[in-house]
Amino acid sequence: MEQTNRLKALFFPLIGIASVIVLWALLSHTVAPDLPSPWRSWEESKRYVLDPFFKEGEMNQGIGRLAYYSLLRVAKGYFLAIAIGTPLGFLLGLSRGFTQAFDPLIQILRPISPLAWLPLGLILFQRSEPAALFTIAVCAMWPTVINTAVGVRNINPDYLNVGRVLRLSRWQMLTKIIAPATLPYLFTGYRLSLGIAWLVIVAAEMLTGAAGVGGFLWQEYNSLVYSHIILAIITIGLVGYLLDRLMALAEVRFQRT
Amino acid sequence: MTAAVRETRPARAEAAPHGFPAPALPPLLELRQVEKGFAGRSEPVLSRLSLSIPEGQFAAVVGCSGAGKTTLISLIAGLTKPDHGEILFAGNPLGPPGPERAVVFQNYSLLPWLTALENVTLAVRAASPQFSRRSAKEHAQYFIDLVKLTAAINKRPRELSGGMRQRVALARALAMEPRLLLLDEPLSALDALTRATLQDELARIWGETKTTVIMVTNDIDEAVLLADCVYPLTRGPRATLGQPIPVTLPRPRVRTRLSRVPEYQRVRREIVAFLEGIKDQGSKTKEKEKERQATCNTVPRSLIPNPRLL
Repeated sequence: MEQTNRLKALFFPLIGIASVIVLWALLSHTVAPDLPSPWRSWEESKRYVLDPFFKEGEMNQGIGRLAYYSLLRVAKGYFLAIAIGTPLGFLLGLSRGFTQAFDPLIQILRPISPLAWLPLGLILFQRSEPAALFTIAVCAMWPTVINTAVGVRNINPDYLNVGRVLRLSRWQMLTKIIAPATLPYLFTGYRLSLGIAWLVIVAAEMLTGAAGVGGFLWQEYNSLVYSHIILAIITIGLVGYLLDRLMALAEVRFQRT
Repeated sequence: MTAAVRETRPARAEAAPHGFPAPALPPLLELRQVEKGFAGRSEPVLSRLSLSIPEGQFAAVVGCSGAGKTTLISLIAGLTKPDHGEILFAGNPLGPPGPERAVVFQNYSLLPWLTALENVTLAVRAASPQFSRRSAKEHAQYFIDLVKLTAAINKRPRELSGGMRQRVALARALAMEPRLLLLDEPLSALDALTRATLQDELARIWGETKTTVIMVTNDIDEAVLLADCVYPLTRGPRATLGQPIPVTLPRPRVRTRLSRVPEYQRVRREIVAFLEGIKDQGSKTKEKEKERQATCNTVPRSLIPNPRLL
């Protein structure tokens, strides 16, 4: 019973993937002749996948190396995002006045696309790298901000009463009661923020031309090597999926405590 | 170390043979004409409520659900402030909440990310900052042993049953070494068997610590079993306290034999009569009854003697 279930868990996703590949092949042979067929895409991308860390110039590098550059950039922007977003979220959750002052602003800033932030970053920092980090941070921090604030507001008032009876100082109240009680919400925020950071990286790299998966994708589009676009898309998807799984594991770990 | 701390605490009113108000002692807690309402409610929950608890007494406030029992505990703890009237603690106006008035909350309120020991240790360290990390832990350990939870000391609240959680909550409150211990329907969420066991435990622990206790409950038998004096609460809104009913039954009180003691019957009848009386008053007008929607539990819940428990 268990084994058949496991087989199913393996077999069904394979069916899904296979059918998409078939559809792709059909499209490339009929209505979209510019779309490289799955086989041609593989032939032309093989080297980037099988030797993922080669380097032959700024944009001609193995896909592993490109993904590494992107991940590094995402990591920097993401840590910036949670370093700003977490305290901001706590302030929003704790202070009514702060919420009244800044909540409307946050609601307006939140839906702004990374494509809109990037030029502003370029003006502010004059260089593409800090502009990219700024864009990632400013787009990715909202889920952390909002989840933290919601977590703080949803703390069981009994826990706060316990803290009052124990006559905890403000700082102890924060570290002993409020922060641990908010932790599960915080991690949900962190996971969502990471997903957005990874979404933003592609846009940021495309516009700044930085070396990475997104930059590679745009460059190969301009050089008409369409099969590499597909390679880049698949890589972005896979890395994003892995990041999400990793964060989900961390989240479950922290929710257990 | 622990013993030394304990000995400095004021002894209970030994002069009174049955624990009912020792005349010489000033009250530890006094409420004078207290009134408390909440925003959005036309009538106050508690009104013109006066109460005087002597040091060392086990006091039980009995009332129906929705009568304002938890509000009363919150007021005495200092978690909320009365709209009118005054509250005196040890002769002084009541200050902000603090470990000298420890509370066992109705739903335990243990911090779920801490183990049983850590929950109690946090309370010890907050109440007695002079303790080192190690002696705070030993102190906490003492109270966990007292509530017989030694085996589950490193478990988190999720892993504990309701009864065990309530033991941890009790240990946490006792570990603050309060002058006044406030119990907010401490056993109401438990099943009948666990409830009876914990009532006996509570009686034993109180016998050992002799802390002044105010327990609110909707269980008359629980009140008569444990308390020196029962203070019946009328129905809300505008709930207030009736005449205190002293319980002069000798201790230790054995649950199985209690039901045959005439004094027990008398006290019980008196409380039931009071609560039933206000129930009749309350049903005079249909509208008011609707508004109240509270249920009054005068049916014995924990009385059914179970020899296997003893």
